[in-house]
Amino acid sequence: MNRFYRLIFICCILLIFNQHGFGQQRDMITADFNNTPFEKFVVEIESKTKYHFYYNPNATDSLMVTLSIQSKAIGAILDQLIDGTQLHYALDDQGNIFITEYREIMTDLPSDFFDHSGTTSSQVASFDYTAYEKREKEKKLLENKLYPIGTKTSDLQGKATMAGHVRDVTNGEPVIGAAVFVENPLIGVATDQFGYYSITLPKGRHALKIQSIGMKPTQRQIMLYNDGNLEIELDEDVTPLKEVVVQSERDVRVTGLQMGMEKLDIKTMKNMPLALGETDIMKVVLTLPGVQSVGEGTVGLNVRGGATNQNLILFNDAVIYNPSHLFGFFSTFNPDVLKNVDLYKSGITADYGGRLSAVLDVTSREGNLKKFSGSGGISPITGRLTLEGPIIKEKTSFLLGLRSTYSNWILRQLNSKELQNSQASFYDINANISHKINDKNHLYLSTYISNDNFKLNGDTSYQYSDRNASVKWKHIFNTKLYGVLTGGFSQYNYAVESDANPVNAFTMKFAIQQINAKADFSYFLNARHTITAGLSTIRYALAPGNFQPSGEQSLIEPEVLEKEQGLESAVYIGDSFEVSPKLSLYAGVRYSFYQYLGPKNVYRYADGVSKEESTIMDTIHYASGKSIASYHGAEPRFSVRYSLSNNASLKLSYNRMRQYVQMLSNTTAITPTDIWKLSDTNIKPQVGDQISIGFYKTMRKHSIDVTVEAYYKTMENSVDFKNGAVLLLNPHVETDVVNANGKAYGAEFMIKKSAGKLNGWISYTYSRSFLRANNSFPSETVNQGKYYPSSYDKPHAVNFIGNYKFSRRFNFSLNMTYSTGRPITLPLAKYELGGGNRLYYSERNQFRIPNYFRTDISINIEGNHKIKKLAHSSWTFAVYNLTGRQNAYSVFFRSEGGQVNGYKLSIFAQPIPTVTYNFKF
Amino acid sequence: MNHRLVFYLALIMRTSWYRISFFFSMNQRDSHIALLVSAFIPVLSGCVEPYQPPAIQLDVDILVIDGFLNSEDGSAIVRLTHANALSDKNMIQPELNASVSIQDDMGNRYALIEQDTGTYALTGLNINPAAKYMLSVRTANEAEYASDFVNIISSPPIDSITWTGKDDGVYVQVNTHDDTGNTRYYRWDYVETWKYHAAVSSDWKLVGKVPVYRTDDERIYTCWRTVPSTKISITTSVRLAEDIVSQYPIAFVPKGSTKITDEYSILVKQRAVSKAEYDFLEQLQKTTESLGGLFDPQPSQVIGNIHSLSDPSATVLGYFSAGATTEERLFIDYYNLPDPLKKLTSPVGCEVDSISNSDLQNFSGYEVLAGAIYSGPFIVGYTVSSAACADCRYQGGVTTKPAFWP
Repeated sequence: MNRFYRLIFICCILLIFNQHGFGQQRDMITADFNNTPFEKFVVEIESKTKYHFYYNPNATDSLMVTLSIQSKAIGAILDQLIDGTQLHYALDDQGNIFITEYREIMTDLPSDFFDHSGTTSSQVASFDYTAYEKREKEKKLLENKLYPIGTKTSDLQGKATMAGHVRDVTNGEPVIGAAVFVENPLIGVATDQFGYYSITLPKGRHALKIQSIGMKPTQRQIMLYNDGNLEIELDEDVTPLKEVVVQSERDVRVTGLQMGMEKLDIKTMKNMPLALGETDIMKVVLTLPGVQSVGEGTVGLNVRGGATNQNLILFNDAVIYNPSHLFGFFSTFNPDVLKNVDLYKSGITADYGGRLSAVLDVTSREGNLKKFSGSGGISPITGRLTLEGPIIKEKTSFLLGLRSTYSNWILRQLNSKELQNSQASFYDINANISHKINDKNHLYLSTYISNDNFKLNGDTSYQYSDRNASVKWKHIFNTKLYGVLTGGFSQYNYAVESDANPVNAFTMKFAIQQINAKADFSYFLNARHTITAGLSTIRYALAPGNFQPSGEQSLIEPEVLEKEQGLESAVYIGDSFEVSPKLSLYAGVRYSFYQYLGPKNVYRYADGVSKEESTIMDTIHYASGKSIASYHGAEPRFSVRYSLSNNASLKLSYNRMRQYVQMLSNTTAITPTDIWKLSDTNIKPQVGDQISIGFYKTMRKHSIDVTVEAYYKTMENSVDFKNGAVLLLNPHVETDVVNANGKAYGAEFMIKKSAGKLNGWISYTYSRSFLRANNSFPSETVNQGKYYPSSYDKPHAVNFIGNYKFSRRFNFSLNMTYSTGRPITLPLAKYELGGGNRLYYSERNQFRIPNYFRTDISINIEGNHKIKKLAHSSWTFAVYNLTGRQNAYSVFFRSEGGQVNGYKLSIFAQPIPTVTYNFKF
Repeated sequence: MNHRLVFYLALIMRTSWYRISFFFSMNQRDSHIALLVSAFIPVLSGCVEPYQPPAIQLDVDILVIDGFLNSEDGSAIVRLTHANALSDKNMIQPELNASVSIQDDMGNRYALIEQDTGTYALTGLNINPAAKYMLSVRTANEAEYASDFVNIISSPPIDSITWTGKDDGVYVQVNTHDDTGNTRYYRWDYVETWKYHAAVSSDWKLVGKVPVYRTDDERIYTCWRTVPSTKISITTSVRLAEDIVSQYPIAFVPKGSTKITDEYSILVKQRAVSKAEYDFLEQLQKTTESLGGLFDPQPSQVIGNIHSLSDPSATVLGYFSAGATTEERLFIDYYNLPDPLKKLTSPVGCEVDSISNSDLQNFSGYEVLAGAIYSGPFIVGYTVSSAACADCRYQGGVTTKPAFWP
C-alpha cells in the first residue's frame, strides 16, 4: 500500500513540477517478445519510445511477455499485455505509464484539487474508488499540502495567531474539544463548543496536528506569515479496529488546565448497557466517579455530596428544570440528537454560575450541512426518529428529533381493568437550526419540549413539561476575539388533576419560568493568555401554586399563591495564563447580584422565636418591581496545573458558587411535583466553596489514564425541612424549612483505557456528605444540631465499565456498579396509640439500606459495513441487572393488623432483557 | 398526594414488564400477549419482600400517653404504656401505679382512678364546654408529664354511611358536613362486626364419651366477630368552599373476605379535631402506614402535645384531646351485594370424615362431631370434622349475637 501511495505522490510531484506536457505520443511500435521477462520488455519499449514505465517489480516479476507487435499504438500493446492478469495500466499526458496491481490509478487530479475549501469533489466517474478511499486519498493530499497563513511577508520574527473551525467532513458538524497543536515547541489548544480554535505560534513553518475522539487524526503543513484563518475538516474514524482511537481528551486530561471534568461523547454512551433499551445520558453520567443518585429509577444526580437541585443542567445553553420522563426511568434527552455531555465537578470556570454543585452541559448536534440524513430506533418502550440536513447546502442546516412512547397503546391491550384505566406517556421534541451568515457570523436556534402525562387507575392525573428555546449569535471579530450573544427561555410546569370525586375534583398547577440573556467574549491575547469575560442576566417568574376546582360540582375553594419574581445578574472575567510550559493557571471572578422583586405580600416573623404561622407579626406589601430582598457577592474561581513530566501533572482548584433558586423536596427522590423557590427575605441564597486537588498520569503511549482527585466542600444555607413539612400550596413555606449547612469530602480514583479492542474504566470513590441544622430553636434543629449524613451519602462506590470489540460488527459491554446503601431513618420502637401499632423513629438518617450491586451486559450488532446502503442498522441486546440481585431501593415499615412488618422494596429485582433496533440513513 | 405514588410506581413497574414481554411476543396473536402478561405478574409481586432490620437496641424507655376526655358523657380515659423495641415479641408493657389527673384552666383538678393494665379512668365529670383542659401524669418513679391545654371540640353528626360494591370488593364511605364551618378537621374510628358460619355444621357434641344433640345456645355454626380499626382515618375540608366531607373512603372489604359471607356491619365514630391534632395524626399516618415508596416523605419522629416536666429533653409519645363523638351504624346484607361479590370461596381442606359408635371411645378432642349417620332409625355413627372447620369460634368470633344485631 505504501508503495502505491508513493507512486501517487511521485505522480503528483511530476504533475506539479512538469506543467508543460510533452505532447501526445503517436509512436507506432514494432517488436517481438517471446517469454521475455517484464523488465526486459520495459527496457525494450523505453529504448524505442519516450514512454516511461512506473511499476512495482514484486507485482510483475512473474509476468512473461509473449507478443508479436506490428506497428501498434502503445495502448493496444498494453491492453494485450495485461489481458488475463490482475494488472492495470494508466497512461498520462507526459508519456508516463503506471502499471499497478488490482486497481487503476488516476492520472488526473480531482477537479477541485486546487480548491482550498477542501470540500468533497464530485466523483470522477471512471474510477471505482469508494467514497471512503477517496476521502482517505484527499486527506493525504491535504496533509502534505503547504498552507500559507496570513499575508505573505519575509519578516518571520515574532508570533502570529491563526484561527478557524474544526469540522466533521461527513456532515459539517463542528468538532468540540479537538486538540489542535504543534509538537515543537509544544503549543496546543482545544476547540470550543463551536469547534472554534485560535492558536498563537511563532511565525514560520509548522506541522499543525489535529486530534479528536472517534475522528482520524490529521495534520496540516502551514506556513504562518501573519494572523489568518484555517478551516479544518476531520474524517470520522469508521475503522476503529485497525486504528488506535485517539481521544482528544487524552492529552487534555493531563496537559489541560481543567480538572474535575468529564466529557462523554454519544458514541461512548451508546455502547453502554442500559435498562429498558434506551441510551440515557443521566444513567451514563451516574457511572462516573463522584456522581451518585438516591436510587435507580430516579434521575436526580448528587455530585460530590451536593443536593440534586444544586446542579446546573444546560441543554444548548438553556436551563432544564426536570430532566426526567416517567418518574425518572428515562432522561429527557433524546440520544440521537445529542453530541456530547460535559460534567464539571470542580474547577468550574467563571462563565458558569447559579448552582452550587456541578454543571452538566449537554449539547446537541447542529444538523448535517452536506446531505439529508436520518436515524432512529425502536426499543420496548419508545420509538424515536431524527431527521437532519441542509436547508442551504454548507450554510444552513436543521435537526429535528422526535421521541415518544407507545405505552398507552400497550396499556390498553392489557386484560387488567386497573391498567386499562391507566395512562403513562411522554414525548420530547428537539428542533435546531444552524445558519452560517458568513465566515464571521453564525446563528444557532435551538428549541426543545418534553412532556409527560400519567394517570393510574383513573384517579389522579399528572402532567409535566419542560420547554426551552435559545438563540445564539456568534460573531468573530478577528482571529483573536470572538463573542457569543445568547438569549434563552426555559419553563417548567406541572399540573395535577383529580376528578375521582366530583365534590373534591381539583386541578393544581405550578410553573417556573426564566428568560435570560448573556454575552460571552473570548480573547486570545497571545500564546500565553486567553481571556474570557461576559455578563448575563436572568429574570425568574414563578407561579408557586394554583389550586382550582374542576367541574361544576366541585366545592374546592380556589387558592392561588402569589407569584414570585427575581432578577439574577452577573459579570465575570477570567484569564487562562500559561506561565511556563510546566505551569499554567486560571484565575477568574464572577460577581452575581440578585433581587427578589415585587409585587408580593411578605410575612415578617417575630424576632427571636421560631418561624411559625403563629409568629407572623406583619404582612408587608411590595409594589411591582420593588426590591424585597437583595443579595450579591463575588465568586472567585481559581485553578493551577503543574506538569511533573510529559505524562503527569498535578492540579489544584478552588471555586465559590452562589445559588438563588432552590428546589424544595421533602422526599428522598425528586418527584414531578416538587416545587422550586426563589431566595427571599426568609430563605437565604446558598453559597458553596470547593477546593480540590488532583493527580493525572497517562501511560502506555497515552492509552491508559490514571486520575486521582480529592475534594473538600462546604455549603451554606442549604435547605432542609422540619419533621412533617408541608411544601405544596403552603403560602408561608419558610415556616417548614430549616436552614442547614453542609460539608462534603472525598477522593476519586479512576483508571481509564480509551484505546484498543478493550476499553473502559474502573473507578473507586470514597465520599462523605453531611448536613447540619443547628438553629437556636428546637423546632428548627435536626438531630440536636449535630452533623448527620445526607440522604445521598454513600461512602464507597466502585464502577466498572468495559467494552470489548470482537470485530467491527460485534461489540460486548459489561457494566458493574457497587455502592454503599444510602442512609435512612429506621424505627427504633413500636408503641400503641389509637388502637394501632405506631413507630418511633430514630434521629434522621442514622441507618443504611443494604449495599447495592448490579451487573449489566449488552451486545451491539452492527449491520454489514457496505458504505453504499439504503440504511445502516444495528441491534442492541442488553440485560440489565444480569444477576437479578434484589437491590433495596428502600426499606420501610408498616403497621398492619396490629403487627409491625418490615419490607424491602426493589425496583429492578429481576434481570431485564431488552432489544433495541436502531437505524441511520 | 404522595402516598399514592407508591402504588403508581408499583404499577409502572408492572407496565414496564408488560412492555418487555409484549415486545418478545410481538408477532404472536393477542391472546398470547395476555398469557405472557399474566405470567409476569407473580414475578413482579416479588418486588416488595419482607425485611428484617439489623437488631436495634432501644436503650431509652419511652412513655406513651394516650388520653381522651369525652365531653358528652363526662368520662376520661387515659392509657399509659411503654414503647418496646421493634424486635420485642412481648406484649406492650403498661405503666402501673401512676397518679393521673385532669385539670381545667380554672384550676379544678380531677384525679383518675387506676383500672387494670395501665388504664386510668373517671366518669361523671361535669364538663364545661368553654373551658380548656390538660392532663398531668406522675409515674411511680416520680417522672412528671403534662399536656398542653386543649379545647373541647364537639362533632357534627354523621350525615350518612354509604357503601359501593365494586368488582374487587365493598367500599364504605362516610359523608358529613358542618353548616357553621367550624369543624374542618375530621377523624374517624370504626368497629366492624360480621356474622359468619363455620364450614361444617356441628349438630352434636360429646359429653364425656356420649354424643348429645346441641341446643340452640350450644350451636357453634354461627358466630359474630368484632374488630376495631387500627388505621388512622382523617380528612380535612379546609380547601373546600363549604365544610363538607363527601364520600370519604373509610373502610374496604375485599372480595372473598369472610366479612361479607352473611351480614356485615360497621359502626363509624366521628370526632372533630383541632388542626394541631390533625397534623399530629397525619404525620403519624404518613410515618406508619404509607412509607417506603420512591416519593414518600422521609420518616421522622412524631411528637404530640405531651411534654416531660422533670426532664425537658426526654421523649414522651402520645396525645391528649377532648371532645365528643358522634356515631352511625351501617349493615350490609349478603343478598344485596352485586353478583361478582357473591361468589363464596369454598374453605380449603375441610374434610368430613366418619366415625362409628364403637370408635367414639378413642375419639380425640381435636375433632368435632358434625351430623349423625343413620341406618334405618338407628344412629350407627357420626360425621366428624376438624374444629377449625366445624367450630366458628376458631376464627375469632363469639356465638352470642351482639345486642345491636337485628
